Amino acid sequence: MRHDSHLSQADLMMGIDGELSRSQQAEADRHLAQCEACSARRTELEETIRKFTAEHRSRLDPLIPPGAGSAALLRARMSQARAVHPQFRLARSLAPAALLFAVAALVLTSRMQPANPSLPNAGLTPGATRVVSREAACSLPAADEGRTVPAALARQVFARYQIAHPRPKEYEIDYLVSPALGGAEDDIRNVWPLPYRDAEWNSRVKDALEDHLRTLVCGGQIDLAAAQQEIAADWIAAYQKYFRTSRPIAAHALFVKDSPWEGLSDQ
Amino acid sequence: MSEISWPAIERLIGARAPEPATAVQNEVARLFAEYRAPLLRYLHSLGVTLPEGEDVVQEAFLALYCHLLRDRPSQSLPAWIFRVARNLATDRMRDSARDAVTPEALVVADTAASPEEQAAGESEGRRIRAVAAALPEIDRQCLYLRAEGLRYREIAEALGISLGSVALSLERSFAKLARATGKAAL
Repeated sequence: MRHDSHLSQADLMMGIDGELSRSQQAEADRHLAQCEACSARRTELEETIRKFTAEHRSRLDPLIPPGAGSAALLRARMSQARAVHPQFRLARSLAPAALLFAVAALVLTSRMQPANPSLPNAGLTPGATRVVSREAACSLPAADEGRTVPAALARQVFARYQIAHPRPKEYEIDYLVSPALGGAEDDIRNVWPLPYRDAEWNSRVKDALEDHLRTLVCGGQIDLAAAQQEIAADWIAAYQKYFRTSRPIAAHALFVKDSPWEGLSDQ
Repeated sequence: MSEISWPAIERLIGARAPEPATAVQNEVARLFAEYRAPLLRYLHSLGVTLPEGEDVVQEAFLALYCHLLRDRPSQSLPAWIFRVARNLATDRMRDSARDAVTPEALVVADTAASPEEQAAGESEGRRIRAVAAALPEIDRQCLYLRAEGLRYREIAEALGISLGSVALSLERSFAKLARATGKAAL
């Protein structure tokens, strides 16, 4: 916006909507005070906005029922959701399921000797989920980008896995059931240190599986609960099944989504 | 000494401790009272009927409740709730594609059902609806989100587009609407 030039249509609109910076607004006001043409354009634009808003509201507002009933329903549903929120929930309805998970995974790991470092210790990390519908899971952003495991939780994870001096970038503190698939966050039973790049079955390969499963779940091809169960029981087997291969696909090993664990510098 | 609110204390000590669930419920109920009607109108502009819209809005606010219990919100809550409501609505319409009503179809139906409108007002209203319905998808969404009082930054977040795109889109749309209301009315 130059001092002496007329205001652009965008400047006028942003001025009306209060989206100009303070100095831009002051400059626009100065110009409007002395320019009839711009003043008239501004009035015209305000009139168009007013007509559109009036048209949009007047037609629909009389048809919208009062909100008291739906507000009460929401209250009731929130209270209900709270009763089954992860913190309270495991002690109740899902404790048997979690136990089943743990037992099933223990049986699995005891059968494969030696233990694969890319699979979690099922006793420590059976996987945990939060209550979430498929619709809700799929309406959230697909990636868990920017999601970092809190430092305290990371320390706890290394302690549980008896890794005394983890090197930065050697591991990703990974969710067994990823949050994008309804996995619980901040739950020690759902996180473990997965080798970031040195192992064949590393976290990037697992990320590719997570993305693929989410696509299948949100496309309605598999059940959310089934996907959670398969990834928790043995994610490598799930990868082999869904990508129809015994080895990780080369492109997947190069897949970069989540960041590695960067060290305990923030202690 | 002035009183310090709970959120202020939380900010001051930078605690990660979740707020008590009842406080979150109250906050969600407050946002519900404020945004229910705007969301219903916005969803209607996407082709969602009012009864269906009520369901979507319930789901969206329940998701907001879970989101607030779980995470520290990283963006504007109105932008979050509009985005989630739109995604839920899109999923629903995909699931029942045969029953979906397009915005254009709604325009026709509503135009026919407004006999009490004055003749002049009606024809201008009809033109406004026709122009809005014919806008490209993103332009229409920007227009309706702005009509519900969202800031440009919130519109950008809700739709996943840049701030500059929002301003450009609104400028285009209002130029088209101005032609439909101003000159055509003469």
